[in-house]
Amino acid sequence: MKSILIIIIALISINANSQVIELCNYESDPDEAPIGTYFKDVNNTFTPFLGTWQYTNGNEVITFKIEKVTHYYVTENQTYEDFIVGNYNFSQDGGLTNIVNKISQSLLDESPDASVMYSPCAKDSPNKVTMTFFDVILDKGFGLITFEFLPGSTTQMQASLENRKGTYGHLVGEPAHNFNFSIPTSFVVTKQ
Amino acid sequence: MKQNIKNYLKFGILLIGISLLLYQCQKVDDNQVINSDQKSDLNITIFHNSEHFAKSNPKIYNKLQLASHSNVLSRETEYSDDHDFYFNLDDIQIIEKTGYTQYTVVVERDTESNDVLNYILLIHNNGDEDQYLVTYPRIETEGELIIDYYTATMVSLNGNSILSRGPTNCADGTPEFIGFDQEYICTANACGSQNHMPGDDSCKCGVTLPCTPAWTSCEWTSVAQWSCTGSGGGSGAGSGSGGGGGGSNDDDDDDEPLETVVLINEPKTPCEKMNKLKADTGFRDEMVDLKTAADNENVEKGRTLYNKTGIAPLNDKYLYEPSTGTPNDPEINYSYYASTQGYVHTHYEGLISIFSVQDLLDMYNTMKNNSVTDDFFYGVITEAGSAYILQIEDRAAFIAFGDANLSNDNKIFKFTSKLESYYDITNNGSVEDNEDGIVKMLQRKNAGLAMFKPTDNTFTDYVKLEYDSGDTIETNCNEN
Repeated sequence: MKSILIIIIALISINANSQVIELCNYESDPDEAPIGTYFKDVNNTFTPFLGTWQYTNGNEVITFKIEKVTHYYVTENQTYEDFIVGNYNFSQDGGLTNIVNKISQSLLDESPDASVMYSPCAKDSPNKVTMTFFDVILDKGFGLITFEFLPGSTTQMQASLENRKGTYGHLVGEPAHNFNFSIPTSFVVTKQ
Repeated sequence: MKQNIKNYLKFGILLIGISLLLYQCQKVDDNQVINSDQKSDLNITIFHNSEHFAKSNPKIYNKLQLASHSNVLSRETEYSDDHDFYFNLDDIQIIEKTGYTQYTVVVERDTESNDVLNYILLIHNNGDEDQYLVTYPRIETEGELIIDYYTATMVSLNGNSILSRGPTNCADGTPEFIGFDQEYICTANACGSQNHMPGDDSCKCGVTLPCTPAWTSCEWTSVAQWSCTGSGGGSGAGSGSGGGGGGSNDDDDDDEPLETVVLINEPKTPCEKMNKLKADTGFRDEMVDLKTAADNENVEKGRTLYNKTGIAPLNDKYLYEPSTGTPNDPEINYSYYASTQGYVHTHYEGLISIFSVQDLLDMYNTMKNNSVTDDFFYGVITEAGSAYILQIEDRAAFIAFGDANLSNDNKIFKFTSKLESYYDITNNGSVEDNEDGIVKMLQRKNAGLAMFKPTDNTFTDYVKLEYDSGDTIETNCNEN
């Protein structure tokens, strides 16, 4: 009984010593944070963007599901962090079948790389958030998707797709980078 | 009338004859350029990795090391008062002749001098050895250092050195410069990891190892010729058994003068690479053009650099392949060969005043290709008034930095977020803030890169940027 008490006290004291740092608000390089540091979404900046959002245009339906992951352990730095991930379905027959089908009932794998959209912080919350976007049909990365609430709305957001800005070199003989997207690059999504 | 035409013809022929005569005289005055278009039969190899040269030529390497340790230069030459010479065995040049083989290394010293010093160890087929010190003075012409072959000197080293034995080849001990050829020479550069030569598939550099593969470079090269007689007709005037440069050895090319090709160690440090780059007037002109494009066009423009082949003056050694993005779209797609030496591009109005994360990713992707050498550099010129060059300082560190921060989209986005949130690098940030942020980041993350910026828009001089105790420090490379 005494041993169990000691262990519990030790665990509590270890936990109490863990530093909690607010996301996107760094006094020092987050890569140099002490082991056990928790980069936490203290002010719930991700909350406005969570949930299922849909765009419909005739038979074209794009559905996004944005979810928050909390206290995720980062092996490289031995720290913890909150972030959001997203997935999408894309249908061209009114939702009967999906040509992209990445949304699952629950998030099976919380790691950032298991989803096709990701953001480590929402510094412009509650107005907008930008996430990485992997185009499943074109099998291409380096896309970014920004969701920005329409003025005065909490249920509709403007979605905009773009490529990361900068230079893209490739060896002669290898395919050039594809700057296109397989879904529209500007549309409005509505919360479901 | 016929007589007049004949007179005109005679006068014309006379004029042509005088012109030819004057031309020949001019050639003699310019003298010593013995041949300008002959294909060289010189067989030259350069080892860029002494460790591997040591493995394949242990005997010779030991001799070079012993020569260095024996301080032969300080005892045997006019420089005997100085003791600051040392052999740089980073690059070892080998010239094979019928009767002997020359091994040349650069001699360096701590004191400031424009002279290039080469030590030559000449080993005859019969085992005899000679040593020479060649001094190639360099003169400054239009801001560039050019080798002045006409004042080049060679000294025979002998006497107390454990390598030297016997008298020199020349009666007075001093081979004389008799002229130089411009010859089209192909140099085999040994594989950086092992001693494999071009064409030998055993070299794993560029395949599985991060080192420079073997390659052959061909270019017009000045070949200096030396003789004891000063006549260019061989150096047999000397006595004894040394026989260097066509001495008395039976197996030597008796009628051939000694031939040398100056060896200058390739720049290795970022500052050395930057000094070489800033001396290139062709590069300066391209930078000025790109600055004009950044200021006046709403499209990103780039230049991929390659070494020129054939005749390539030191102050204009690159070919430039242009690339252009899409107007009002801040991205640029370009292709390159693995022989690329660098890439420079513009950021037009409204774009970030520093390298974007995608730019760093592009450099990382390029450097992951093992066939691209460490000479590769990356540049940006912005409308905001800034311009920067990144040079590789530690390739392995840079690759590790890229692996940690740039190896997938999520890492890149997270890294971008850190740059904004902690390092204050933003699209709308001031030139100073962005510069401070990236210099600090590169240093704290041990990114293996050295960053330089030009001192003005003529791109004639650069300073190195370093982070020290909260400040960005500017260092002039010439002070190093």
